Amino acid sequence: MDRDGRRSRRTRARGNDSGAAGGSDGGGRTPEPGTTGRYLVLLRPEAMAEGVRLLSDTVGVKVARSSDFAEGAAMTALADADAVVLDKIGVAVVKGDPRQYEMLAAAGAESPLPIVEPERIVYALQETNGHTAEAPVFEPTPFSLGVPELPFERAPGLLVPATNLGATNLTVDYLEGYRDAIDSLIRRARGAEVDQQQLRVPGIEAALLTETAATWGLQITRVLASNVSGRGVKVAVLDTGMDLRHPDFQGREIVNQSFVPGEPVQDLHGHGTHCIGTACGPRQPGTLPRYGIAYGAEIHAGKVLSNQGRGADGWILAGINWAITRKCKVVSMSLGKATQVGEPFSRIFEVAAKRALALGTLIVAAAGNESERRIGQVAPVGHPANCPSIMAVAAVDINLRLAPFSNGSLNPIGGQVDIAGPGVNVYSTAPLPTRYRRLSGTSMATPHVAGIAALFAEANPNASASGLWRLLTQSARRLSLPSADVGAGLVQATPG
Amino acid sequence: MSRPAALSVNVALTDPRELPAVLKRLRQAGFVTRQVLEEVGVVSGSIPPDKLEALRRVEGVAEVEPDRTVQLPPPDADVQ
Repeated sequence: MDRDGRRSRRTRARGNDSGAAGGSDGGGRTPEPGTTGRYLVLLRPEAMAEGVRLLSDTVGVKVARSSDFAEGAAMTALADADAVVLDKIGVAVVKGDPRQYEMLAAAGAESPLPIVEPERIVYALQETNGHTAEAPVFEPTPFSLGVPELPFERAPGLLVPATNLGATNLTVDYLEGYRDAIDSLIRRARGAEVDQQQLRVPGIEAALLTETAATWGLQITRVLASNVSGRGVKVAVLDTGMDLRHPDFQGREIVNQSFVPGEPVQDLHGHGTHCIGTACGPRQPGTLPRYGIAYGAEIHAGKVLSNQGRGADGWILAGINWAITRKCKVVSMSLGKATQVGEPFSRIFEVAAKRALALGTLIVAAAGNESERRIGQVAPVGHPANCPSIMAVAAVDINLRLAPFSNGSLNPIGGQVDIAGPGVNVYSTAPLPTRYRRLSGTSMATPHVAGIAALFAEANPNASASGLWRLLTQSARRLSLPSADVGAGLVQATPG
Repeated sequence: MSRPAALSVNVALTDPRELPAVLKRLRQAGFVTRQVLEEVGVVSGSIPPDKLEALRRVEGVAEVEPDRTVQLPPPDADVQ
């Protein structure tokens, strides 16, 4: 049965795919930027038939009704029809001369076609922790499960460009469907090691990372795929010193110096040993898993924190100066002091860090752990990481969620988080007799960045310190988290 | 006669190359030098509190800041 508005299809010559109005205007007119050249026309639900008749009679368009087609196929009909009426939502997508629609729009609110708008080009948005971010484009992988695309009408809250039928846009429904499919995959894979590089959907990786060969932090920062070791690169870790007797470091030269009056470099706290392990631990430690990144780098252990974990600015500055004189390309500082919102950063540390950069030394420091985001408390980046010339490192967990203690960019001048690293449940070295230990903190994320900086320094021997900074941030993996919390994203040793 | 304890401060120079001249001026201003860091152009030492403001005005001094303290959690804490 023929319905109102349904006419036989008319083949028309395809012109500009963007839908530029052809007709009486002379054709070939370029659409406004950000629009497709088509129009969206709202129809009154109680006057659908009248509205469609108005379209076809007054405006002269050939109309196809979505109800006439199999679900999801309506938009392809647009190629042949001048207008497609999407019956369920009462909107018509139409081609034509904009002057015809201005005429309609001028008919006013009582018209069967009360609203006419140019069809915009828009992109899917995804809510994340109250912030919106562009949804990542899903890249097909060997584990791609062919989740069906959502047809146009089943994308509430999102506008899908009518020209973009081939793309898979991410919505909550889509992600939940994908998650369910991955859960089933995990059940099948449990107990076996899976190459985590096969899966690139953030947030689904946790159950598939086992730490038999290497820590989750080394896996997720793509250190294992690196073909450099930091050979020839000097890395200074300014902390509580180092357990120089640790079996994993026997035979490895460790240049060391204490800046703590009355205390030798030997680490009796444990913090420094853990950080040096992450930054520079061996490729094949006596006991697996591997936990260290720049296994070829020349370690400089500077004790600037006492065995009670206490340090003075003057000792830390002395450690920085020492690293510069020793030509260290990277300084890792997993230390800090809480700041207040509105508190300015240390001008002296900023001067020192700027001079360090100019002299070829990149300083990386922990953003601080004063936050408790589970109860809504976010603290600003601490001293001295809040200096603009010091790279501030936040912490993420194995699911690439922000660690609840990780500080954020709350102070508008300085105080920015620059990058993020693995900082929850990080396995690394401890002083004897303990040997190995798991710790969490932005202190653990920082040596990941420092170790990877050493890898970049070996691969780019002519890079300046600022150049290393840029290499780290430009190659970071973008996360679906605000940059105020993770800066450029998760540090990466090799491209994904 | 009791005196207020000297403040432990760090001093950043405007130009690290001027260290010898600035050190002399700092000493004349009552600053007791404890360490000199040539590459970053920072001097650490102590100054009586009543001479702190004059120290800031010494020629060649860019910044004067008190010596802050950082403190790690104890070794057995889970978050470091």
